[in-house]
Amino acid sequence: MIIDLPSTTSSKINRAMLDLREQGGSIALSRVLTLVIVTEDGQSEDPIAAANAASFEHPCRVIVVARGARRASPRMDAQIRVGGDAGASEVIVLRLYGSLVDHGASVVTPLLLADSPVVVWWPGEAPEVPADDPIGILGDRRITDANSAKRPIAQLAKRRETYRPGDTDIAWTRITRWRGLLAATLDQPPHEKVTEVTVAGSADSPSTDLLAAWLAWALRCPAKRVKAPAKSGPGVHSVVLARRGGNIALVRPEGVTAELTMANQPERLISLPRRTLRECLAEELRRLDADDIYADVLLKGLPMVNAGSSAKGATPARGARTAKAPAAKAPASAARSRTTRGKRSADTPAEPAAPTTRRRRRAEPEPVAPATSDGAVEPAAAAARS
Amino acid sequence: MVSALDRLASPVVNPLRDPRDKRLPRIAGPSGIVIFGVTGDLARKKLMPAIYDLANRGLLPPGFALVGFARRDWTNENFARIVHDAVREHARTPFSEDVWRHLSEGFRFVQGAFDDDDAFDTLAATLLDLDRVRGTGGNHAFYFSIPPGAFPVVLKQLRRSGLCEPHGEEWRRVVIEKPFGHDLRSAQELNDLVGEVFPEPSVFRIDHYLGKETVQNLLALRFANQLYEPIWNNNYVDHVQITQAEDIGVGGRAGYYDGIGAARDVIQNHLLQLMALTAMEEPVTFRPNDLRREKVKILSAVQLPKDLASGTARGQYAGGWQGASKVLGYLEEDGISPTSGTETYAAVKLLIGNRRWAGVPFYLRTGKRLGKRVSEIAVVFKRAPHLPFSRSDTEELGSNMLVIRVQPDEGVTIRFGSKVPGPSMEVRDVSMDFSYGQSFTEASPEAYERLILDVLLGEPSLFPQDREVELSWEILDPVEKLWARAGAKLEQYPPGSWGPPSADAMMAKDGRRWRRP
Repeated sequence: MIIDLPSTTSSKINRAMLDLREQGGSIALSRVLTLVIVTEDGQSEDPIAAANAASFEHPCRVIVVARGARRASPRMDAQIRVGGDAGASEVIVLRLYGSLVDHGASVVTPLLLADSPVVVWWPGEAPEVPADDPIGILGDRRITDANSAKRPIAQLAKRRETYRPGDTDIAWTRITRWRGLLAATLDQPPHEKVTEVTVAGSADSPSTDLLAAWLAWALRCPAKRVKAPAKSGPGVHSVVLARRGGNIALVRPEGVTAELTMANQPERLISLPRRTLRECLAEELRRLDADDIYADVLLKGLPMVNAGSSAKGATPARGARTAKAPAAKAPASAARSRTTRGKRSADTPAEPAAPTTRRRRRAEPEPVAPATSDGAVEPAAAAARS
Repeated sequence: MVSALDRLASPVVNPLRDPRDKRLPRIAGPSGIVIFGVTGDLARKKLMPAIYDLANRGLLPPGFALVGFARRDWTNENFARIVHDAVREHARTPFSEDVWRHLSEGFRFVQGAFDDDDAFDTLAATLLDLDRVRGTGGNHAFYFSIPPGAFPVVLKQLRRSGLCEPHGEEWRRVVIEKPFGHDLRSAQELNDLVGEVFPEPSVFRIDHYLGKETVQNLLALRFANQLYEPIWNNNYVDHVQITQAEDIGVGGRAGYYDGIGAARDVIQNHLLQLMALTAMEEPVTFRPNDLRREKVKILSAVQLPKDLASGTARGQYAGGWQGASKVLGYLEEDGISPTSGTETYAAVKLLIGNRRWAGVPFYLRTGKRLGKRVSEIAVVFKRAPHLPFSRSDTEELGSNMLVIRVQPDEGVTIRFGSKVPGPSMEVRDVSMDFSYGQSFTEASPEAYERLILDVLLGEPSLFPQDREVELSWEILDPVEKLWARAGAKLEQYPPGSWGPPSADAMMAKDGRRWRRP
């Protein structure tokens, strides 16, 4: 059922919710949290669909703050969706216009459920410091998505600078299955120490950076983050854990099926598609306390990842070793990136990137040439920029 | 709930598993399952879909293998087709070609009878081949989806062929379904029989109720909250009713059911486990040993009423109209002798001899062709010792109750008295409800998924151990003996009702009555 309330106020919305409950009988589903989705008008349907899907596991009230045209007179249009149109939750879409656009917190506060935790999610552009944002302050948890930013790697660096307990980023959620598989490989004998880690992924994939950072921090060994071959598609491409008795390699050449190779074992295939938004959101909502591991990986792990500086980026299948570049500086004169699409690299390592060639990508705004010459991440440099 | 995260298969600490890392899924190590009885209903409706769903959730290892063993003349492809159809029909997660493709590459079928030595040698060779080609690592679980009569021969074969012997760091486990024996003696014999071939830590008995979220929630409810523990004793609790009702009859399972009966089928396992979880003391931790210790302790304190005859009731469903269909009575069903003395309804009153529960009866009932399909635990509290209301105002007031709905419509309800809106002070019962919402979501794992994964992970908490099984039989055996002596003519109850009159009489004698679930 969908109820439209044009030009309305929060207290009228509350009244409407109460009426619904009284007339329609209690839906008898307890709400375990309030999810506030902050987005732009016209970009809200996908996040709402993801929230509805996740609501089966976490019945909740979803409040969508959709920011519309600023140059209009201040107004709020609301839409209430319950029942089949809302999964197992109730959805309240608030479209804000005019100067109200910047005052989402004031309209959201009366609609928050009593007692329950509040999760704030920015599926698209997120504020500089989510924890200081007027709506972010209302949240016990704040979820951002570095992938949806214009410059994902830079965005990840910003997340690192402005981290507060309760923040997480979906770039971290996207690699949970990779992490599970890798942890499972180390569960088995032989329990040898991993001496080095190489993680390859597309140049603007913050998930790849985080994966490398996690391995570096957890395994306390040198970790390289390199660029994957151009045709391998977005996201993480491969992880190689080097051990004396033989490497462990988990390679996903085309974004769908991964190959696991270990010494003395046959090659094994497993389905490892890129995770959907709804899966990621359902996982995020499962725990509402601060994610300590994410904090450690973001703050301590990222700087531990060395820059690889080979011309094309190593691919584990060929076992190429990348030469180490000094962590804080990528020499401007280092070999240019020779990607197949002919991107030119930025000259100064301190500048996260100047967008050069426009690359056709799925659902991404402008792509970016990464900081260093060969495309490896340079988080320390990016942090040094501020 | 019962976190397996703190328990690794090997004592070595995995640096990638930080205990604070709650997101990290616990994926099974390289392994495979062999299903004996793979053509049966259980395999088709529960096991195969559960395995697919586990793979779809990313919880099975790459290179997982599923081997079917049966007499049919099937090739690997035929078998894959069977699994495919079962999965399409009964799986809870959406079908993914990719997941299916990788999973089905690990399917194998071995044709043979249980007493066929060659077939088992072929099975051994197949497993070795899977280790080599799929990378199952020598870790194999043998699922016995077969009648108990077949256990001895299959176990003998597993021993003869060496399949039960792990080498080095491998594991070999056996998974058995209820019934775990027929009475105490046969249960002990069965335990001994299995124990000769597999050590106890490698034996996993499936009581699928323990894999249900709501059953695990019972422990969360009791021990995570301050609210309930102070009233969870005989000062406040009047009695407890545990019900498992089905609206279907025996149908095609007549051959299995006759001679067993409702009490052995349900009370001995599911209901006594539910009773144990409701009544047990708080475990020190949720580690398997601590949990099982408390369950054994509480089961060993269970007592039967002195007057056993009036503390038990049984019946058989008659033919008649049930919910818009005409159905046959039990004695008229296909494959059931008209003189059968097997009960399709059983109720028993139990007591617990400890300080917490002395004087609180636990009424357990189960039956087929009852009003509806429902499983629940109702903790009924005593009435207030003094009510300042007038009699007429509280005539409608019942007892406070806390009801845990195990299935369907999983959730917890509290019933309490509330003032009826109006000018007078009339009080009536109302419900305060917590519901899990949709029960068929793909997000929450089905019981079998959880249990199969725990078998592969070697996580024993959700599986009753041999001592629990034996204690459960010690409780039920005297009841069965009483019924055997009482003869084979059982009271009939109309289909769709809530049981025979003797069941109501059993409660009425104590001044109580059955709740309508």
